[in-house]
Amino acid sequence: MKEQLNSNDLILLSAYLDGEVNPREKARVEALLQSDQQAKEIYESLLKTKTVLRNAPLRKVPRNFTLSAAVVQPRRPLILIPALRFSSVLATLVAVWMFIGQLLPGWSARPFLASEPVTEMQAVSEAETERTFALPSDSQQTPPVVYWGGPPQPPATGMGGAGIAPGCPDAFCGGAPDVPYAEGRGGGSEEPTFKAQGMPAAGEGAIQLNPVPTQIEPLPLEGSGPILGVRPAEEAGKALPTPTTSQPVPAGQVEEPLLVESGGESTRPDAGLLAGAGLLLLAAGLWLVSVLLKRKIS
Amino acid sequence: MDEALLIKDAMRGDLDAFNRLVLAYQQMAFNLAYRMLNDDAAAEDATQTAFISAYRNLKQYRGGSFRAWVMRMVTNACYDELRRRQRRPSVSLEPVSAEDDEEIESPAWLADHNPQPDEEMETRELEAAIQHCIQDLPEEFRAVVILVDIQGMDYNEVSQAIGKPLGTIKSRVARARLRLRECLSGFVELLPSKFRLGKEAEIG
Repeated sequence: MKEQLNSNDLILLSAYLDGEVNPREKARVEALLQSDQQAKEIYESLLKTKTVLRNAPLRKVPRNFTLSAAVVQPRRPLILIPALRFSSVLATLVAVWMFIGQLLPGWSARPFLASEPVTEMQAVSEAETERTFALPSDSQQTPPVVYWGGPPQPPATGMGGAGIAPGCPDAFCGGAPDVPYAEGRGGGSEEPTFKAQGMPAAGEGAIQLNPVPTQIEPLPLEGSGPILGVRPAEEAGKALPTPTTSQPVPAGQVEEPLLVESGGESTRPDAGLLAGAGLLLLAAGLWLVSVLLKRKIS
Repeated sequence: MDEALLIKDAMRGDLDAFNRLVLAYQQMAFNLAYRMLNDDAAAEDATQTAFISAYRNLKQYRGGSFRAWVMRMVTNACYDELRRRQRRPSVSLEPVSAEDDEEIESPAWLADHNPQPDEEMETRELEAAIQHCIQDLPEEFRAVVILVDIQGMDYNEVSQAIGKPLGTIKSRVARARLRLRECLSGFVELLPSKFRLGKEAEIG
């Protein structure tokens, strides 16, 4: 703005045009108009602007806007409207609740498989869970070792190696890293023949457990699908028989370590109920506020 | 017309009494809506909506200037329409040339074939210039300057109609006038000589 007058002076000049100033302001503006030529020019230009606007032609009304009884007939208020007005808020709250539920450790610790029938999960009995928890601590320190193609050769003969092929992961090539190697060359006269054992083909070579004594009682392996332990669909819904004492594991089947959910099962309903109740209370409060606001507005 | 009596009757549900008030204020209401929205049809809708809203909310009227109270309804209806336009910008319905997809500036069906006297044409052009400058104002300035300078309401009424304090009204009127002064100076040839601003008046 090129004018040197400050904004208060301009507001006063404009208000003076409309006679909207008090006596003190009026005296100040009149003194300003007499002393400041620029203020006088601005005042005159504002006056002309106002005159132009005041003389702007009025548009004729295209029709009468009188009301008929049908137009102003009172509408029956719908009770659901205020509640529906907050439906998006409720949906957002539910979404947030579900998202937080996924983050809480006790709510969704157990992984769910898409193909896993719900009944199968329910079939895991309490006895199995308790029995697994009741395992002695030393059994966890000596986990079972699985050998492909039978137990390894005794390590004390030959070159003292256990037959680990270079560049091959020991657990997959038949070696037994847990078994200590014999130190130095033995007294064998034969040229050591190095023979790496590869992965057995499907159906060949029985998998055997190592002879390390363990307290873990093997569970019967169920099913024949690509995922061990998952029973076929035709067996879905049937109760899983509780295994008794040590049953021999049939050849060709591997014991599946039991995946047990650790805690949180008993607290889930409580937390969910509390959150749900809180949301319900919140929704009711919002609904009440909306009703009150609508009454106040109307 | 006894306005207070009509208002009282209307508050009791007398639609005829309210319609007499409508007839008294519909010209002002429609012009305010037209200046705000710059569209006849939209102004019509806003005016009708405002009067319906006024009738339904008549019990909320607590005295004071009934004119300002009605203008408040109109202003609110116009703000609603302006917000709706911002949310859903409309597509121009101007006729488009089939050859080059360009808008036809002066379609034949819009032309007024009646002879136009020069004065009437100048008035229309001046009116268009004023409307153009008003539309360039921010919405909050627009409503205030229309109510004060075109409708001739005082600051207290405008304060009541807009729902803003008196100081805000003063400030907005002054700023709006300064902006309009700048804008109208670009249409100096349309202004009658007595209305020309500043140096243009001397030239004219």
